[in-house]
Amino acid sequence: MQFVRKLLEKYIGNTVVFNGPRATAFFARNPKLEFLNNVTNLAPMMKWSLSIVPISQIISGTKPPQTIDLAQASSLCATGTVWTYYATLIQPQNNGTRLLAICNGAMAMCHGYNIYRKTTHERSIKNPLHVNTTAVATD
Amino acid sequence: MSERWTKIVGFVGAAANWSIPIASLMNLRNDPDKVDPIMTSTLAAYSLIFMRWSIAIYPPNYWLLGCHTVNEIAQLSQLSRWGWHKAIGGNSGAATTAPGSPSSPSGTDAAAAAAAAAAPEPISEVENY
Repeated sequence: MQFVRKLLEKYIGNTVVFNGPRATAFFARNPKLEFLNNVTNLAPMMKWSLSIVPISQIISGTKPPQTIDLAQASSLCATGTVWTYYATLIQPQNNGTRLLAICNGAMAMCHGYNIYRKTTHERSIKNPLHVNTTAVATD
Repeated sequence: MSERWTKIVGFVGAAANWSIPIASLMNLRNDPDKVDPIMTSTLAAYSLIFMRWSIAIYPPNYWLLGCHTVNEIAQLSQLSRWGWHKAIGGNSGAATTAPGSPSSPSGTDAAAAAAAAAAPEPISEVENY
């Protein structure tokens, strides 16, 4: 336990990712990249890489409603909702944490939309007449 | 908002995040051929960064740190399983597929069955010695 505490002591409250002499020289040469040396800015970028897949699937239409896993979609929607709120509570309130809130909000919304698509599809299988009338009405 | 409330929300967020490591730990039993190397390595990098993030913020979220530590281990073991399968298991599978494939219609099932059948053989030989 003492070993773990000693290991973590260096990182608690420390947002700088690389602070060696070579990294310092590199970020002094490229000041625009210094944004990425802060872990609160780097983390939402990694989270975008996870939520970009369902968003691109919705936009390109490569995921039909039959293939949506309802349990997975609802758990991801719940995660996104909780994390959107959590990102507004934690202490360093900078652009990075705002980006995290936006990213999680987008994830919650796209998975919520997936749940909606899945439930509408299931209802259309049960009661095709109902959906046909609405389709005519919207047309 | 009070620090206590922030910690409670952080715990709920970490608990919701546990679905990622649990899903990959359940996939450890599956065929290593089904592992997606790009998604797995992305998740490994994501976990590594969020391990740092979880204690860089205030208040430090140790629940999230534990979750991402488990996820990192799970993803790296999945990735190593895939690499091991590609480097060694894949070759032996291709060698055993050739006699097995004409009898069985599905190639992957035949390869898996042949690999399972071939695996105990060296042990029995050693035992016979």
